[in-house]
Amino acid sequence: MGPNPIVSKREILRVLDPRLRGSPRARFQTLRNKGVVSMGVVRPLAGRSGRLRGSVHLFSTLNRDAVRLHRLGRDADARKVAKDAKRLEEQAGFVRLVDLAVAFANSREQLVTSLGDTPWQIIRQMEAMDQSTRRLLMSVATAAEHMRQAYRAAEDISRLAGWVISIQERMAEIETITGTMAMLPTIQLESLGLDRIGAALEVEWEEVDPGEVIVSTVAAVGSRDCSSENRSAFAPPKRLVPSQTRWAAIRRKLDNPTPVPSVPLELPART
Amino acid sequence: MNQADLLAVTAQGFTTIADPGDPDSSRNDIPASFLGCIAIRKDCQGLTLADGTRLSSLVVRSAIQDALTIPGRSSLVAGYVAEENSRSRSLCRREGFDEDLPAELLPSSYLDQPAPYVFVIGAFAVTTGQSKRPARRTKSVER
Repeated sequence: MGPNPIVSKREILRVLDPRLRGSPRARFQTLRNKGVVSMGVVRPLAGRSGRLRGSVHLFSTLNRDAVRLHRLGRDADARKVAKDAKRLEEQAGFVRLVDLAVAFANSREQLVTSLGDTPWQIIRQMEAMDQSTRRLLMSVATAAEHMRQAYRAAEDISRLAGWVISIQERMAEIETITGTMAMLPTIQLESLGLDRIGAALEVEWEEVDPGEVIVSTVAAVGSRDCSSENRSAFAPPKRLVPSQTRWAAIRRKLDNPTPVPSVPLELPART
Repeated sequence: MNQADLLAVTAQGFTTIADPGDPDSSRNDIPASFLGCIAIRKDCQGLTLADGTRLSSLVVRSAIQDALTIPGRSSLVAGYVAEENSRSRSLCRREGFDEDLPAELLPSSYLDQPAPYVFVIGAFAVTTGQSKRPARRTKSVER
C-alpha cells in the first residue's frame, strides 16, 4: 500500500490549519511565495456538450509533508520536499494519473466537485476499476513513499498504515503493514468512508503541545476490498444510478418511445 | 449453422435503472435491457438489403426486438459505445438512441487501460410496419 498520491489545495491547507481558517486562496499563495508547495497540475473540467466548466488543480501528496515542515519552522527542509513534489508531478505516471482522475470525474457529474476538494474519493473508485489502474496508482504512490523516507526519520510524528480487518461496537481493528494490530474509533473513519473491511488508511499523530495531539486520518492506496461493481462496456451492470439529468431524459423517453419496425426473423421462444 | 453463414452477433442482458433521487430504494427502479455487443462480420459491414434497409439497422432492430420480447422489461434499451467508434455511434443515433455525453472511462476488454465509452439509451416500441426507406440498387445480401 502507499499514500494517496493526489491531494487538493484544501487537503494541503488542512495540514497547516485543520480548521481551515482565513482565505484559502491567500494562505495558499503565501505558501507558494515561500516555496514550500509545488506548482501542481492543472486540468480543465468539461461540461456538457464539450464546454468547459472550470479547472481543477491537483498536487502531489508530498506537499502535505512540506507544509507540515513549514508549520514546524523548518522552511529549508520544506522547500526541499516541495522540490521533490515538483519532480514527482512532472513524472509521466503522475500526469497520467491526474488525466485519468479528471476523465473519471468528468464522466460522473456528482464527482466533479469531489475532485477539487477530496480527490481521494475519486482515487478510491478508480482503484476498483481494473488492474492496470491499480498498478498505476500503486506505482505513483510508491514513488511518493520512497521520497518520504529520506526525511521522515527526522520528523516527530507517530504514524500507522494498514487495513481495516474488523469493526465491532464502534471500534475498528487495523492490521498494520508491519503485521501489528491497532484499534481506532470508527468515528475517525466514518466521514472518510473508511469504516469498511479492507479499507487502506494512514493515521498520523503529531504532538503540538504536551498532551495536545493532532490526529490525521487519510485514505491510502492498496485497499484489499477492490471489488468493483464489475462494470464494463460489455457486461450489464446490475443496477445503474444515472445522474439527475440523465434520469430526466430517460423519463421523457419512456413517455415517447421510438417506433421500430418489426424484424421478420424467428426469435427463440421465451419461457 | 456454418461459420460462413454467420453475419452478425448481438448480446443483450438485463439491468435496472435506479432513481438518483432515491437510490437506496427500488421503488422507482426501471427494468431495462442492456446491449452488451453488436458486431457485424467485416466483409458484410456497409451492406444494404434489397429493400434499402441497411444490414446494420436490421441487426440493431433485431437486438432491440429480441430484448423487448422478454417479460418484465420496460421499453428502455441502453448500452455503451466506444467514443472513437464514430460509425457505431452514428448507427445508434440513426436507430433512435440518444447519447449521454461526456464519455465515461470504463474498463475495456480490448485495451490494457480504461477507455472512454459513450452511454446510449433509447425507448422503443416494436411496430408491425415495414421500413419506409425506398429500395435501392446497391450491394445486397442474398442467402
